[in-house]
Amino acid sequence: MLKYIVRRLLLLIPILLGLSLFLVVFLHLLPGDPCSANLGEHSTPENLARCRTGLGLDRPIYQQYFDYMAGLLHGDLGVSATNKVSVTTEFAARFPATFELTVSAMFLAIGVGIPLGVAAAKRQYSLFDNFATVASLIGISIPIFFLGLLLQYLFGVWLHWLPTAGRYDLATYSYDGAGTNFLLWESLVINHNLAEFADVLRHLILPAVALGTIPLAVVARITRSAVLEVLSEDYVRTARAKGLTSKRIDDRHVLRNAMLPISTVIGLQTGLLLGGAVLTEQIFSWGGVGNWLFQAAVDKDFVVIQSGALILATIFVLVNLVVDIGYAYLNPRIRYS
Amino acid sequence: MTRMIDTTTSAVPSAGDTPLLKVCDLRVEFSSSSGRVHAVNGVSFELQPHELLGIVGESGCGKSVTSLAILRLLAKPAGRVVGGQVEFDGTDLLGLDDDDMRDLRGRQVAMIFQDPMTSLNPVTTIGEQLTEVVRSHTKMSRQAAEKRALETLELVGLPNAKARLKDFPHQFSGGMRQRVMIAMALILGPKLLIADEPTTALDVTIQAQILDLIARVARETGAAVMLITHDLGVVAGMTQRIQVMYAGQIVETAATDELFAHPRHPYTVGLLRSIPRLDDGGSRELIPIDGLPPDLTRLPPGCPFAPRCAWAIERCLAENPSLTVPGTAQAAADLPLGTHVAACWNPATDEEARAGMPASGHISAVSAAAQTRAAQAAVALGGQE
Repeated sequence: MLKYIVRRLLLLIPILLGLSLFLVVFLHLLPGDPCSANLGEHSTPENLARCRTGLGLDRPIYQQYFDYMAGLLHGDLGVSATNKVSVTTEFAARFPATFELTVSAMFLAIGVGIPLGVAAAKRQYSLFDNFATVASLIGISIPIFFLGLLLQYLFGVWLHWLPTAGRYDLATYSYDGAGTNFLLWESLVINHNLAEFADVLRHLILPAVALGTIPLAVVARITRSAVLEVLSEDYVRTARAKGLTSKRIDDRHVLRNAMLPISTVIGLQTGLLLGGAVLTEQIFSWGGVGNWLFQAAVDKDFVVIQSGALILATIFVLVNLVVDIGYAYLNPRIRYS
Repeated sequence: MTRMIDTTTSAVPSAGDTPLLKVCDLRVEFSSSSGRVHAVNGVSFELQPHELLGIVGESGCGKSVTSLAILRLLAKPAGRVVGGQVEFDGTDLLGLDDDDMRDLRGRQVAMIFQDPMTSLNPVTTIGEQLTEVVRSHTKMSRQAAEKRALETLELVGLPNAKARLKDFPHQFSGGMRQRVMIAMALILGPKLLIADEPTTALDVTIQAQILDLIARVARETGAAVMLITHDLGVVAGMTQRIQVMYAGQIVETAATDELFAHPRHPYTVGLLRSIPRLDDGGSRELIPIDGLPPDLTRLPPGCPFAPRCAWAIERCLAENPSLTVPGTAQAAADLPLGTHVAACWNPATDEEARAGMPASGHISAVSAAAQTRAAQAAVALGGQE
């Protein structure tokens, strides 16, 4: 198992190398650079040249690449051309927001999606099953920007139940910018402040619902089909013939086996969401990774885009590695060696 | 694939005790896209305590469905019992509430299935699959349940049982998995063991071992056995009584020796003619039964075997016969258990059974094709002699 993990981690090297090369070449092929984006179209050629020299953009592209990679090897992810903040600092500040949002969204997707899929499969072709199938189809096809705005209008503007933007209320939360920026953790475990915790939770609900709806629908659909498949397996009939209670049959025989395909889907969805949900973070003014990378793309902030993409690729690979390890635990027929 | 038959052992079952299992006019239907499938059509039989009963018939004849209906394990909602009674040890199984029925499964009536490769849960250990039977039916502690599991695995001859409790199904061979299945079925000492084609998916070399094992553990635990198979060779040396099923009906039943020596129903004759025997010097040609079983969505009004039967007479096409002493009108229901009965208007004589074809005189148009074929076979046979 350890050998397998090491091999998978070593596989990251060619992935990151290939990705970085692709990014550098591709970004430089595009018209515009941080300087033209920053200074605007009316800047003088002298100003532009000075800016480019300052950022080192006047050097040959291969030299820029090697300098960037040399920095990477020393753990230096570079500095933003726009606000001169180091990528590492900015990412560390923003990742907790994305992480909390992702975990909440997946919590919702798993907590609702799996029971929904199981219930639908056990009543195949019933009214409930048809309803769930249509609902999950809508869930998969609904655009996030539309769902987000709808939620904001419904629960924020109209009903006044929930906040529509930000991660916390300045009036309640005495967050001073220090700490880990994992606000759920900070408020509950560090500050022991239930009011703060409740406030952070309230802010999380709408973005988590908006972001979690698609994974929820995907999880529900895959759960339904996986459970249906397992229900027709011989070993489920054996379990019934053994006179086990239906709860035990569901938990130990049906779900344990159905979890194999479900866990793969959950892993993929989590990896995707951790990359930052651009739309959700924009709509709910969520200071996360997606928001940041979106802005970097607008600003043509090469270094931030490159490093950001490399970080996301690494996270994606790591999440999937964790899923694969969990898969081996769920499925004894698979032993990585 | 078929085992050579050796019809030396088996005794006539003791009649007169209160039956362990009594099935009365059982009817099962499945709904399908092509209409209602009449899978079991009025099956009645009894099983004595400690008896070994063989149920034989080709695929789709309703033998597995009968056993699943007894345990109320028919695939819902497609399959359902539409008539009849099932009485086990004095309890009406079809009227039992779900929870009592669940408790009866595994504890009083256990079942072994055809394919040991797919009948065990691939993601939990053998030990857990064994102990969960004990734990869900008794208040036994985990340690006691594990001890029981170990004893049962040793009973079925699983080598190195203690270490193997932690193994997963894929780490066992097919024969060993079927041993585990048998252990799982017997762990609570059920009164009835239903074995549905327990050797069909196994290597020929393993089949005899597993059959011997089932017979031995049944004797040791005192369980009665319903052995379901399509292979007469499997039941020959093992059961006391055999029931032959065709198109959802029992067409003939007798003590094992009697059935092999004096088959009366043409279908039984056909089954016996299609397997090799040790006691004819190997000179006999194997003759398959012509045609296909009837479409169970549209059963003919008469005997379901008539279209394939060389013995068929006009009456066979019009009227479905019930089980009687061959050649008489004495109904099976009035006779002691183990009496040789067949559902046939024109049963075969010993002579005809040996020849595999009816004596001339009552050959009907429906059987012309089968008749021709049987005659050809007889010519071939004569040529060899």
